[in-house]
Amino acid sequence: MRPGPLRALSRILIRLDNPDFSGTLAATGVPTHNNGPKSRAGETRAIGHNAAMIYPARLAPLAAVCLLATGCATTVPPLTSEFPTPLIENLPLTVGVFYDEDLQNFTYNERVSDGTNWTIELGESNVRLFNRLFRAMFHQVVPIDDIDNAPPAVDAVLRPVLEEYAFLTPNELGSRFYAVSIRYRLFLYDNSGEELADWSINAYGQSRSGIINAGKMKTGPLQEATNLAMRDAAAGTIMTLPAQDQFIALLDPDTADPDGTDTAGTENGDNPITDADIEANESE
Amino acid sequence: MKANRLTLLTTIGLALSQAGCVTSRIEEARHTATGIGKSERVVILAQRQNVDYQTEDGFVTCLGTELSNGSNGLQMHPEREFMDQLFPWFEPAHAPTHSESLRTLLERPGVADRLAQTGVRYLIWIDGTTQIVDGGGNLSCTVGAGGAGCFGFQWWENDSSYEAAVWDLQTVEHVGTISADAVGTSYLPAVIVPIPIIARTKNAACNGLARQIREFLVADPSD
Repeated sequence: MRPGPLRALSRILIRLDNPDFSGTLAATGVPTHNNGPKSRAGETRAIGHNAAMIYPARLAPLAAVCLLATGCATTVPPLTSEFPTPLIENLPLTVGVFYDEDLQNFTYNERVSDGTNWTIELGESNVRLFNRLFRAMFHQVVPIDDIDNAPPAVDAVLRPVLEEYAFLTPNELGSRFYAVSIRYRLFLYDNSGEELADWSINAYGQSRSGIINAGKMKTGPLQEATNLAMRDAAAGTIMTLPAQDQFIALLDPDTADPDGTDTAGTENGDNPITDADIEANESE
Repeated sequence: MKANRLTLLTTIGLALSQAGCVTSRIEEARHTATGIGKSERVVILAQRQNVDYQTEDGFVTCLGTELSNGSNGLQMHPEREFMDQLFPWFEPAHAPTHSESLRTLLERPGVADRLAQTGVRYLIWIDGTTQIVDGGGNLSCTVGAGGAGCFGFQWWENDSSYEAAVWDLQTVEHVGTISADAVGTSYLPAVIVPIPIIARTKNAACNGLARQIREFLVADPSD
C-alpha cells in the first residue's frame, strides 16, 4: 500500500476522535426518513466517538468499514420523463381526486443485502401519474382537500394510496435486472365521503442493469423499472376501473347527473385540473 | 528483446482480431404475401411478458439499425414512441398477443386513427435472448511486485435464439414468422496476457434476422 492513502486514513482516524467531526460525519450521512431503517450515520458517530477514546488503534478497521458503509447511499430521484397521455375515451363523469400527504411525499428506504441504502422518491411522480391518468379517464377532474366535503356536482371521489413498493437488485435476483413491484389501492367515495368501493392495482416493471454499476448508471435502471411499473399501474387502472359495477352505476343515466358535470368545482371555489396544470406540474 | 516484444504484440493483435466460429440458422414461415410502400414504416417491439428473461434492448436497436441501413433501408418507427402514442394498449401486460385481439383493439375509439398517424404498416414482435449454455476451464490472474499476469484457459458456448413475428396492421393479420438461431463457442486462453476469441452470436443473429426480415417484407413471392 502506498503511504498516501495510509496517511489520509490515519488523519481521518485522528479526526474521528474529535466529537465535532463525528457529528459532521453523521450530518453528511444517509438522510433519515419516516418509514425507513435507522440512519447508519448515527451509529457511526456513536461508535467513533466512544470507542476511539479508549482504543484508538483498534478502531482503524472498524472506522474504515463504517466510513465505507455511510458512503453507500443511493437516492433515486423522481422521474423526469412524462407519462404518456392514454389513448382512451373519457367517462362522462366529474370526479374529485384526493391525494393525501403520504402519497404526495412517498419515499421508500431500504438497505439491501450488499449494504447499499436506497432511497426512492416517488411522491412527485405519483401525483403526475394520477393527474394525467384521471384527466384522460374522466370528463372532468376536480382536486379536493376534504373527502367529506366534496363539491355537490362531483359524481364521486377517488383517493389513490400507494400500499406497497418493493424492488430487487440484480444481486438479489441473480440476473442482470432490477425488478420493481408497486401496489396501489384506489378508494372510491361518494360526494358525502362515504366509501363505496376499493380496488387493488398490482403493477410490475423491470429494467436491465448497466455494465458499470455506479452513479447514474446505477440509479437509472431502477428509475426505469419504477417508471415501467407506474406505467403498468396506469394501464391496469384503465383496464380495471371502467368495468367495475360502481362505475357502471355512476354512468347510469338514472343515477348520474349529466347536467351537473360542467359546473363542477365552481360552487366551492375548486378548479378542475387542466392540461396547463399537468404541464406546469411536469415542468417543476 | 525489442523483436520479442514486437512478436508478442503482433500475436496478441492477430488473436484479438479473430472471432470465434458462429453457426447460424435462419428459418422463415410465410402465411401470406407482403409488400411495403415507400412511406410505410415498421416498428419493432420486444416481448416483455416473460419474467425470466427479456429480449435485450441492444438487440432491438441492432435490428432496427440493420433494417434501416443501406439504399433499400426500411423506415423504422422508434419503439418507445410507438408505445407512448398508443398507451396503454401495447404495454407488456396488456399488448395484443394474437391477431384476433389486435382486431378487437383496433375497434376501440381512436386506436386505428392513431395507428394511421404513425404510418406504421408492419409490427414486428421480437422474442428471445442470448444465453450461455455451456462452459468450462480455469483461469487465474495474479498481481505481484514484479507485475501481473494470467494463466489458464476458459471457454463458453453462447446460444442466441430469436423469433420475429410479423403483423400487418393494414390487413390485421399475422403474416409470418422468422427465427434466427446462432451458436458459437468463445475461448479465453491466457499465458500472461488473456487473449479473448469471442463468438459474436448475438451479432450474427441480428444480421441474419434483419436480412431475412427485409427480404420478407420487400419481396413478394407471388411476383
